[in-house]
Amino acid sequence: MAPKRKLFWAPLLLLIVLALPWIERALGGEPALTMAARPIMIFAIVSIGLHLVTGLTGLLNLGIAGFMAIGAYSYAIVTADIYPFQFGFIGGILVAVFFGALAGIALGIPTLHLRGDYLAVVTLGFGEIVQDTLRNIEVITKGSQGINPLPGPSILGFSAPQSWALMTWYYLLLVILVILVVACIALGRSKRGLRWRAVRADQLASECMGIDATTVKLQAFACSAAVASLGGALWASYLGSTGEPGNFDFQISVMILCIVIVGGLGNIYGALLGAVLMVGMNSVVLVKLASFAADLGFTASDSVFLVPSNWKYLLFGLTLILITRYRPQGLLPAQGAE
Amino acid sequence: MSIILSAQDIGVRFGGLHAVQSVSLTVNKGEIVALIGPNGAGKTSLFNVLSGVYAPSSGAADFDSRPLAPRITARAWLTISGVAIFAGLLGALLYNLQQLWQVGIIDLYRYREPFSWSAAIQTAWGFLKSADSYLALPILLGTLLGGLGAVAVWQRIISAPHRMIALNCARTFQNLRLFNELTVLENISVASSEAISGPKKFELLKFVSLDHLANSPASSLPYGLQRRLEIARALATEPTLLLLDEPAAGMNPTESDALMQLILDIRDRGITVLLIEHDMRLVMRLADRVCVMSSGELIAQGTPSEVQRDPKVLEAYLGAEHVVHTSSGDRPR
Repeated sequence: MAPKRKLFWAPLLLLIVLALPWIERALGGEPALTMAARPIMIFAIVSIGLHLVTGLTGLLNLGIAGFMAIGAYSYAIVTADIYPFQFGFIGGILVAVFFGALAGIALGIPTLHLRGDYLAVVTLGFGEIVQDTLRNIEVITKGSQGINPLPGPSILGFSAPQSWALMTWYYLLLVILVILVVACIALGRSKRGLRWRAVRADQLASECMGIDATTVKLQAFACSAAVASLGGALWASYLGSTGEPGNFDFQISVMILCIVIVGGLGNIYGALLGAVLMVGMNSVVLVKLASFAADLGFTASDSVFLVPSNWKYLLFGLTLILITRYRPQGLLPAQGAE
Repeated sequence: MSIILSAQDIGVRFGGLHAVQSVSLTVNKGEIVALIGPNGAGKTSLFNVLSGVYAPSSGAADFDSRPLAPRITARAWLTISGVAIFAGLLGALLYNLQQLWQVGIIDLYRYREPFSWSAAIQTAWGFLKSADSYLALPILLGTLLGGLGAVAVWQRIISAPHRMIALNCARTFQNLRLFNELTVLENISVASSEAISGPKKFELLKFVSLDHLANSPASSLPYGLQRRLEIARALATEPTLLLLDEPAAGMNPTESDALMQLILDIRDRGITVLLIEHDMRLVMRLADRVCVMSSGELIAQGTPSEVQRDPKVLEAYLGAEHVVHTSSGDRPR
């Protein structure tokens, strides 16, 4: 039943992605694509989190950045050397995933009977509450200063030398992403994934067919929050700092929703493609354009409109409008969504 | 014959409206029972009670001597109190979190020096003990919130319709409610119990003559086949009692004849069928027993021919005046 073309392009694509850092290294110069791939992959991880809850189970979540923040701050608190915990990279990631899942359940319980727009409003509020809470418990989160420095990837105290840091990050994120994608595909085909999709299709009917929709929703919320939290922890570790709580604001949630919708709601490959397009546009195309504009002699003092990095949200909005107008099922539509 | 469903004094109220008023109904194993009545008689409301969608305002129902009403288990109580206590402790920690963190962690920790956890816990305990009596408030609030939240989730889980499958009772809907984005086979798989294997699912699809469409999306099927798929989906849960809500609605005579044969085949599999239907031709030829509802009450029951002659039934369908002028031999349709 599996389409043959999928079997053809997936390994090829994986091969290219695997070889990319070495090709760029061989070519010399700045490894721009390898560097840009890191935020793309981190956002792809968070998008997979949103895919689980919105794409598979049909619960619209506008507060995914809140879970990223929870992940980033739990990772920071248990790994930073200003605090006595210092669990190390893997321990920190596990703690972040655990607290993310817990927060997911905590948000899921009071919103069990909400659907669609109402759920979206509550989750939006949740994202804001997380930000404000983190800002207010300044003693713990260090307020706008953020918790830093944070450790990068290491296993049992060993970490890669500085010159290999880029490669380490690239392959670490790639491995995590591949594991998540494989797990998601397996979930989508499993009985459990079918139940999630059934709840999305028709909650009452699914309940009458013996599916415990309450448990399904809480599971979906917990899994989604855990994955988003993992993304947030990786993001903090990658930047070496949590930054300020305002970094995990509504714009991030909307951007991730954009990624999932542009790619195709309910299709995991769509989430990946969306991340490549949206984050790639932001961190590759706009950056290139910016240096091009600078070469031409345009500066921010001439006009803010001539600085390409300011076009980001305009382009996000435009893409979303065009997609919902001309291809509402997304670039890679989910099965049965046409 | 043994009784598979026994409902006593079922009442359903929506505000001031009595949709169903103390209806008692028994269904024997292996029977096909039809529930008929004019529009708004309360048939679907009764169905919704029997399939666990509504909780009855009064009355109770037993399925194979197992009660419909959920029971409270010791394990549920234990989980709920556990969550409540945990939330109460969390409340205590959150009461003055920043100061607790300050004295327990920041003041005790010297940069990169070993940290004594026992000292931290002692300090934190001392801090909480020396706190003013307002500390009781967050503890109380936490316990209350945690406990109520756990009760709410538990309540939702035990009162949801999915428990009916454990009572071996499955249903279909008046307006089709298939999982449209899933394929035909996936619609069967998602409903089926773990025990049903791949070949058995295909056997089930063959039973409703849908096996050649196994991998097409459910939404792509024509209407009549979607109805059959909905029945197959209900059968996949391995019910002993099947509730069909207007299975022949919108079908042409050929389709409804095929449906009649399907329902008879289902009965031959040892499944009891209770159905709501407006197609009298189908009801009179199919049902072993007919129950008639009008204005929320059960006004008559018996074999099809008995019910057809019942003056109360004629009155409900045709109005009192009409009954007076018709001879006793006439039928409601």
